[in-house]
Amino acid sequence: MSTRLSRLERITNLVLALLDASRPLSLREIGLAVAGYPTAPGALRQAFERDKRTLRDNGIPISVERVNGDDQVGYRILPEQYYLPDLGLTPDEEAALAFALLAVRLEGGVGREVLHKLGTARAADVAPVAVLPSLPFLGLLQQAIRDRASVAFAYHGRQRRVDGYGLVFRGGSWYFVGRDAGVGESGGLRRFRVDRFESEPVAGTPASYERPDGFDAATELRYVPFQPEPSGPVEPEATEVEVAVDAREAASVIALVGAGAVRGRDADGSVRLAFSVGDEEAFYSWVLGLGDAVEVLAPVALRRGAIDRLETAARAGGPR
Amino acid sequence: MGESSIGDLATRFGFEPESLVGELELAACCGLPPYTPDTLLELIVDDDRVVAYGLDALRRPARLTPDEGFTLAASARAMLAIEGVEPTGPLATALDKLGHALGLERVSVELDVPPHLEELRELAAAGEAVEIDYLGAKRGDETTRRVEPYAVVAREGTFYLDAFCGLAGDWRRFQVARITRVRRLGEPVTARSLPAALGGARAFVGGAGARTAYVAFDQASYVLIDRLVSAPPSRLPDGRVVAPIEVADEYFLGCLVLRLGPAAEVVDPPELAGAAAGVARRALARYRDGS
Repeated sequence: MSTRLSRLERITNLVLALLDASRPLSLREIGLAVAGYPTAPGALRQAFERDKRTLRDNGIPISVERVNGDDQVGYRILPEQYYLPDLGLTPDEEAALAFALLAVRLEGGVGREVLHKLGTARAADVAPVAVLPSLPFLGLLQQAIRDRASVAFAYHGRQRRVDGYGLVFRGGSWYFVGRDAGVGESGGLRRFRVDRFESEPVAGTPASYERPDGFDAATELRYVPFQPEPSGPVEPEATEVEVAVDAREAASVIALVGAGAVRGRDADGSVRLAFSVGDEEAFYSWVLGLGDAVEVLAPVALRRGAIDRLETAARAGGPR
Repeated sequence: MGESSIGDLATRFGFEPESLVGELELAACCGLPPYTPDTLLELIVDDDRVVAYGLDALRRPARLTPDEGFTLAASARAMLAIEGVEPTGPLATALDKLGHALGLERVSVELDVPPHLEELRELAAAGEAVEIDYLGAKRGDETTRRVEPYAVVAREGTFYLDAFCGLAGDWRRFQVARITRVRRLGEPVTARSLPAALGGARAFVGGAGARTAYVAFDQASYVLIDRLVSAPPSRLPDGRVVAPIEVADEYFLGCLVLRLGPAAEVVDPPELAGAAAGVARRALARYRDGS
């Protein structure tokens, strides 16, 4: 039997054993009980870690729990996390989900496998309507939010522990929104771009926090477009600004600041918007990056600031 | 007990039928300690059928894995964003049923749906040519074009129309939000093959005018453009970093450099060094006109 097949067999045996376990199994117990593992402790650890990573990469949740004894930690697959509950979907609902899964594609996604599990595997192919970026941690983060398990990860050079409230896709990026325990005395609401996580997130114990009633992560995210990335406990002061935006950028700007910011629309498709700015330098960067599609109308100080920066940039290019 | 045809299983798991049988032989060696016959999977291959007996552990369907649950949540939420929420529609009621069990309600997808999206999707599906008014990147850069729509797909959060453009005589990717008018022509499109570059997940596809510009900027600004750089940045002696960026036009590059702040500049090629100044002058003209 080839090495590849041996490992597949071992991993399958591992899944079955961990699923069957009524308590967490230590590494030593796994090495003794599951067929296919080497006996030397170092090699056993190496092989198990590799298998564990493979299973997690394939979406199989392995619960890591503290156990008595030398090994201190044990592993198992919790049945309630593994099996599909009865969902009670009607045929129309199954068809609607199947269409969504086929029409909205996640890069490297597992839509077809979901269809098999929902019992709608024979749905016809449809043309894609949207392609969403996918990242390796999104499934884990969603599960942590559902289970109310705090998530630990590195971000902007700091280790975070965040009670997740929601995942939001906006402006082409996925954001993890929640309360960062390291901000202030009781934690502060922050959002983190998932593709900028600097370490693999690790979920803690389920049911470790309560979500605020009526919390809408998308709404919370919407009002912080020009605040600095979450790096400290000090909340910046906000300034109300008004800008005019041409039709060619109107949609993307409204998507950024929210339809509630629209104060007026002209027949040519241009819009006037008013919203809060917490970080003026970030605001200038955004305004200048929109070229001649945007004009700062108010306040005068920020309009002047934008003009000054544009004049500096124009001079830097030398005479025309 | 479960039963399936070899063909169905091979399709589902992406195997050739012959190699699937090999995998099934492997699976029949798997089971629970102590690996006695009564604790192993029992798989019987008979002609083109597979019959499975075996472990209680595999009798129930597996729950959606986190990745599958997330895929379902994201797909369904995106479809609701695109087509609108009908509270009594089957997708919305399915989400209600799935929401609590799978945590779908904690995922939201925002896709800004531009005015002509549905019409362009219909035209692409029907293979019908269309005339569009299109706002270019620069102010006053508006064109009318006959295009043959191929597909309308959201990439990186923005809807694009991929079409063969009569004005350019080539394939083009248009931002749907910048299409201000759609006029149906009632003419069928010419059968053509979509270039491979338009089939990927990235929104930027370059085209004949695409060039690589090397842009120097403060390291702290990297987060503003990390999705645009085509290779990791390298450090300059003055402490800044420099990164290659694929650009299709000078205006876009100028906006990008302005966004990166006063320390940013195009270091190569020299003919693009004035891109930011050019955009700044255009923007200043607007302020002069406006006030």
